[in-house]
Amino acid sequence: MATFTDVFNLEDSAIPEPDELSEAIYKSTRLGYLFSSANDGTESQLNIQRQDESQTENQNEIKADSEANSENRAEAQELNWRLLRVLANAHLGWVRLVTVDPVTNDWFVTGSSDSTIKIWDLASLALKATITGHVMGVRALAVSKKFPYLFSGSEDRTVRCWDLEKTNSSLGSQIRDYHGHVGGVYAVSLHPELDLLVTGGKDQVVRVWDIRTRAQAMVLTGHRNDITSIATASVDPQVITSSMDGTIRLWDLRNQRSYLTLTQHSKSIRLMQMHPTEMTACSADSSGNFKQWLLPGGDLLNEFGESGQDKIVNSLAIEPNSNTLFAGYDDGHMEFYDYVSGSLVQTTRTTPAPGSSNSSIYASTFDMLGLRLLTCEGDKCIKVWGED
Amino acid sequence: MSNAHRPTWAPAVGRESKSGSRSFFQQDFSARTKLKFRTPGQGTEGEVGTRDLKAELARAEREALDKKRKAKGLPPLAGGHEGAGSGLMITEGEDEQVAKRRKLLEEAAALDADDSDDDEDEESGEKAVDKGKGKAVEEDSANEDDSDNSDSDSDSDDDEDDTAALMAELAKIKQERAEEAARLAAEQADSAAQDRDAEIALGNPLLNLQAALGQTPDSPSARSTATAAPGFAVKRRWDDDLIFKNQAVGQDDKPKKEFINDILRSEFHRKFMSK
Repeated sequence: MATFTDVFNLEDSAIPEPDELSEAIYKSTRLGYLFSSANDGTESQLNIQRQDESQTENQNEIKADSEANSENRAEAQELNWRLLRVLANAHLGWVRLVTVDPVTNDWFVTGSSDSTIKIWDLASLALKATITGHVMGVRALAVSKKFPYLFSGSEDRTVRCWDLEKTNSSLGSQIRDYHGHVGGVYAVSLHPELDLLVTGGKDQVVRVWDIRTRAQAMVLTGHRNDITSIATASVDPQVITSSMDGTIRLWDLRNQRSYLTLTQHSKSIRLMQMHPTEMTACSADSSGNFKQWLLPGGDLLNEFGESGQDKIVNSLAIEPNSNTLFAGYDDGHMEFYDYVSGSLVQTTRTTPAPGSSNSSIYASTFDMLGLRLLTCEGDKCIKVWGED
Repeated sequence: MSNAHRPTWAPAVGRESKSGSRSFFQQDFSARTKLKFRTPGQGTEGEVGTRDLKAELARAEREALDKKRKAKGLPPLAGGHEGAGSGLMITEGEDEQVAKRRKLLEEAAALDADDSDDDEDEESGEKAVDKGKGKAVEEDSANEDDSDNSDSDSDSDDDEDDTAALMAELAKIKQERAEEAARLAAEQADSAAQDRDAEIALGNPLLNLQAALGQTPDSPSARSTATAAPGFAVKRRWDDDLIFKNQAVGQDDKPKKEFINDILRSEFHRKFMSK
């Protein structure tokens, strides 16, 4: 008589084998971070002991410490990003999004609250194409590495797929739309290996779409407020989402549920950005506090930023070569952090274009090489920054 | 229009669609059943791996800048290129051969840029000719870029030949430059001799008193003093003894027109809303 195990072969290929290599990498990264923090800890303990011993030594030490700090600062201040070019009146409204072509580095795409998407040449800043079709402001963009497609999400609740080979056709370049969201779409991300599109927004659910058939493959429920950012990875956690409810959720795509919820943020999370090469992510909440996470375990690696101030972070960008983290604020403030140590390296402000009194930074990205920083702003300009 | 932009107390929350029977409309089926892939030439990941993206970006930015300067009537920026090149010099990670090749190419490009600069300086008068020439130069440079790209793409077999050809080209350009420099030096010597003659003829203030006192008849200051000189009386304007002169000069009732980058803050919109 056939038993259950005979019928349903439990050694199923669908159950993945334990991924030992990624496990090892994860553990070593974690240990590295632990040891780096442990070193700091021992030093501070030693300092405390010596403080007990004598006051004079303590003062000397403070001096030494300050000298060391100043040296660190001198090292850090080598970074000097400055404004190179301004593309004035790039859009008719706020420019809210920017994405550089992830393969060729030749062009970049911007989305605006004037409901258009524009494609620009990165070197000459010449307009290559304008994509219209959305009826409300565009809030999310993703360029595919595999396909000549551009995906956009908008406040009009639609997610659309544009064929970049047809941007000049009179019929328009939209070839697919993904219907189902009941609120504005604030985040769109493409799975790096599977043909899946992950979207989320005001309706508090994450929807996973099959790109080709437009079918809604999954609905991931769990967040209690708007979803602000989505990151995808080829290894677990394949989908990471941040939400205005102050949590980050790591999703298990096989079981269609979140296997981990990170609740360390005390305020709503405005942004989360994954490091392009490491399995780490950085998130910023509405109190101006940044937190770094190690995935897939969700360990809190570091936290920095001046919390408690009314700093509204609007954009984050991570440059993997020099490990620079850029944060753009609503008041036009720009901060460059060292991604590893979390120390503030450079602070500047944007200059608003003539005709605007202030300019908030809505989106920013480094180009593929890390040579240029593009910021998109409330004065309808795109600004190009470069390092000295 | 949708009302998604309006604030709501309880915005719509998405739910998992209930399982069970669902009816599908014909429109739900996709008209496009295939996915297009990025084909070679459109920037696939494989082909981009062989390209030197840093150099390409630097070159493209320089070309864009030069085009802009040309449109303004300025000579192309020669120094900018070198600065960008030095900024993007190869780091240790790259092949030595690749580095050598790129250095050669950059040197040749710099020399070319200098040459075109000189040409433009000479022929600034003949604009029509210049324009035609400029186009030709651009095409040339475009062709060169293409060849550069193909060079960098091609195998290492052609490297030797290419380097030899490049060296020959470089030598030729260098010779041309040397000739040009000699000609310029001769011209300079000529003009210097002329200046010296003039200095000898007019330089001595004792022989040329008028010039030394700055009373050359051509200079406007001299003319005014000459007209003022005959009578020593001070000339007065008719309104010199008035107290209140031209009171309305600084007042402007109309507010200054300012460019405002926002429709909602613009003067037109304000006026429109106050109607």
